[in-house]
Amino acid sequence: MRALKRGVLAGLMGLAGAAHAAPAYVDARLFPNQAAGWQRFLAVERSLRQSFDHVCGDTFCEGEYSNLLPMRLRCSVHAASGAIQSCIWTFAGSATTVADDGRIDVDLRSFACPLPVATGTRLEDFLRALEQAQPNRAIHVTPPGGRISIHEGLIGCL
Amino acid sequence: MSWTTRCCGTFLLFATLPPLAHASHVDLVDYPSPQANRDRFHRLQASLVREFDGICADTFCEGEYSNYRVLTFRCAVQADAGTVRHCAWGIVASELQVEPVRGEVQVDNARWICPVTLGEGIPVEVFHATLEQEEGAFEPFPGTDVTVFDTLPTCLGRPGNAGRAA
Repeated sequence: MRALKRGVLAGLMGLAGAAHAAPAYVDARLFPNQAAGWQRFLAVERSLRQSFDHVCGDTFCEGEYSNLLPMRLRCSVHAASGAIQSCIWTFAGSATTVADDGRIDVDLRSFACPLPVATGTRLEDFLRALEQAQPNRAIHVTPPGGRISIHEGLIGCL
Repeated sequence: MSWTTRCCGTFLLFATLPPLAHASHVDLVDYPSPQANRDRFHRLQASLVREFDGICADTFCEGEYSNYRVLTFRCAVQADAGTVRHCAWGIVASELQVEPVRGEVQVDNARWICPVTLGEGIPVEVFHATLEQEEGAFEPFPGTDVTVFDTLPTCLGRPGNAGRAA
């Protein structure tokens, strides 16, 4: 009987441990689960990338780095509520010169830009707002509850 | 290191550097005159990027990142001789990960500058002709055993912290 109690207790502790180990925050591609979240998020990422390429030549790519490349977008989501905690979009660009002595100077630069997402914004609302935009206009969307568009948010970063 | 090797290494360094330092170099885009080779070089660069993307995942991109991208490939031409002396790849990758307790999106942006050294140089026309062949990036330049991809496995195997920090 005592052994049984010990076993039950150990089992309960194991369950508590497992519950404790569940992540508080997950990648948005896995919310509410991988089957429902993965392709949906990647489609929104593709739209944002396409709209960045559409505006780049006349805006961000007129500066020091003319070949800015969107690299990756990821958001963290509170697993229990579905609220976005943070979204980061990374970019890279380069500027290269050949010196008279033959030296090639390559300036490679990476950027990590937070998206202007208001605290408590639900991932569902964020994705829906971007899905409603034309793919080459997605960057001009102001996330629900936010004050500025994604495009405006990038101006201070790139 | 013995005195002899230090002596000879230094000698070779001085023997090699002055011609480089005194010869005038230009970007391959600007040979033989500013922007004259722009279109041909950009076609070449696009082709090299396609070849890189085609074999990257199964070869030198089997590292810790899943999105290696070529940002630039540029070459220096010794103007008087009309030979390509060396080139440089600029390659980037970016990995983002969600920290499960506090929800931060953690950023790992990597950058590599990988040189391609061509010894005494390859004539500009031969350089282009070699790389314009089908799968030209895998072809050694005439008279050498050097391809433009040779340097990449070792270079991309290093920590990706070259270039300017984010």
